[in-house]
Amino acid sequence: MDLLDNLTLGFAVAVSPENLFYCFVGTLLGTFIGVLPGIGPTATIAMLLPITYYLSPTASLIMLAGIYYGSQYGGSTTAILVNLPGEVSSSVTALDGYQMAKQGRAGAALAVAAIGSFIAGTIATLLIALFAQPLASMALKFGSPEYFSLIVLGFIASIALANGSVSKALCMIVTGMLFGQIGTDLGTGAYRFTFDVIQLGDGLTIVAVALGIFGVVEVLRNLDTLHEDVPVLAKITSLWPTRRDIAESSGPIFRGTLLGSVLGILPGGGSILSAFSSYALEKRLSMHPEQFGHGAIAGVAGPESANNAGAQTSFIPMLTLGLPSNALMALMIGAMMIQGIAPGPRVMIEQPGLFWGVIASMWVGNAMLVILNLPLVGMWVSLLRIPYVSLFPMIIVFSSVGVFTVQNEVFDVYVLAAFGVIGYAMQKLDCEPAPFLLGFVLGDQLEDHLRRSLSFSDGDPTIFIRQPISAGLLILGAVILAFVAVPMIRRKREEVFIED
Amino acid sequence: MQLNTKDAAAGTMFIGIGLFFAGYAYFNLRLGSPGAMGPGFFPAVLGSLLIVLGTGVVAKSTGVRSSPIGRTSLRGIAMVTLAIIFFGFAVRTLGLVPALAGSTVLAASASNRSTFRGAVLLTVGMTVFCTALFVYALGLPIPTIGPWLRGY
Repeated sequence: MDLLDNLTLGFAVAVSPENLFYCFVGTLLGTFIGVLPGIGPTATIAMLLPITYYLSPTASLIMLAGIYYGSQYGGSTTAILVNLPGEVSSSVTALDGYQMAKQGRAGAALAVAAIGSFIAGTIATLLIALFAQPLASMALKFGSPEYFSLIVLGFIASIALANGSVSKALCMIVTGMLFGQIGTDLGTGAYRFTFDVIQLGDGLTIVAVALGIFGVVEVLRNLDTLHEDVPVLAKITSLWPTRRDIAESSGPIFRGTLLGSVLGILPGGGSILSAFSSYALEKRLSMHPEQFGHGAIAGVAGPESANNAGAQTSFIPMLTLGLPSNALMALMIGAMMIQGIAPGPRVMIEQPGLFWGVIASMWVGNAMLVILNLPLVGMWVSLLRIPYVSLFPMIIVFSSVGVFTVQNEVFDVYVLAAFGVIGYAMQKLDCEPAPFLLGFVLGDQLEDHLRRSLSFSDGDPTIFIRQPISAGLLILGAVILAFVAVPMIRRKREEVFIED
Repeated sequence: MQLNTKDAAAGTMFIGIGLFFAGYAYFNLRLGSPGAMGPGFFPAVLGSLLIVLGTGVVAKSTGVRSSPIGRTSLRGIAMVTLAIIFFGFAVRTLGLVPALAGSTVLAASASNRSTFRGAVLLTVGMTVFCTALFVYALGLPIPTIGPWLRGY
């Protein structure tokens, strides 16, 4: 069977010594930054992008992937033990997990979180393996109009699924696209918006932009509100959950995995959305909803499985279609481009070892993480004693060096500083950075497909509606947009009522 | 009339950005026709779209109060930005080691919780670690001591 062959190839690649090592590095690093609040997987991956230049493409992706789903494990450890979620996706885990810890059931919470995450990771890996082929072969039939509509749909869906103002997110996407236009227009070879600055000829370096608006801005925001909370450690009695715990967790784990797998694929989806949705779902389905917030184990099992499944399946659009479903995936694409690999449906055909190796390594990584997290829990928690005062200068300096090494170009460092300031101003005005990065990465592709489609149809814009797949995608986008707009109007009216 | 100042400012900013890009594209780049898009076509379209969307954001900001903007640590922004800019300036002139050291010191002073001892330890640690990683482990051709300090 094809699937078996591919998985065999994948595992053979994944357990090679080099890839195993980098998988370990990735998951270790992921757990580390997952535990530490104030630094997340997006900024870390942006920081390590320059280093991936020196690794093989497979090892790079394996390591970066390990950082992402590893951070989901690490975040839950501190969420449960000290009520300090290391990652946003673990904030729901803290709700019931910390309560369980206060009741002396920290061990059970940690175990359920780790086991749920592992089961979710295994099933998600299988799902990726199952759906990759059909998705990619379908995508190979896509022409420019279909790609154009797909990207538009991706933009719309990523806004709709995020919280925050839809109209401002739309503005951020367009702004991102405009900044992405700076540089050379590949279609005509003309310089755009470069103002005779040579270094802008190739456009703004994505590592500098990404690190600026995610890494530097995060540091600046933390500096605004530095507070030194001495974490109160809850004691861990035994690591084993009771039989009742297992019974109460299996449903949530299964549902969380399913929910996370679906939500992870959607643009704008990923671990955060999956975790929050799972918590809401479990609370609604529970026979004892009043227990939620006071130590219901379903409130830990569901979200933890969901966030892991979501993190892994968010790789599917990137690996099969070359389309990032969130900012982090956009950076993964950056890593592939550094290696000279053009992401898209052809990757599966031209680089099967890379493709299936990365997928198989996700399972290997999950196994490593269970071993890393459970026995070594004490060590991870003691890391929380690193004061942020020492941590943030390291982040700033490391980012500066990293950005410089991408092209040995001083200008890039100045771009980093600029986007730190710009990104900070944006965030102060409640504008989301993720849509900006998505627009920045995908803008040129969108233009390219628009140009080709219109030149093919001699300037006729109805080509996007005449081709059935493209039309379907656009209609879906319009429906989603309508869904989001209508409640907003309703809410606005409510607000006005309250003001009166 | 109440104004959500944050949204109003954001909307105005977007309008400004849209005007800038669309204007530049219209005056300096060839627009072409839809069937044969020139380099200025897409930016002009995007810029115009942004102007429209930005106006929408400003319009929606009327009649609603905004949430407070929160504390802003000017020292934080200034020192962090200075740290990054210093690194960019110093790495090719003074060399990697002075650039790392200066940058770390500047970054550390962004917080009023930094201690002198902590800053020194951090500086030494970061300088050693980054030099070891980038110059020796990864073999990057960055001079550790730059031309200005070498005396020629």
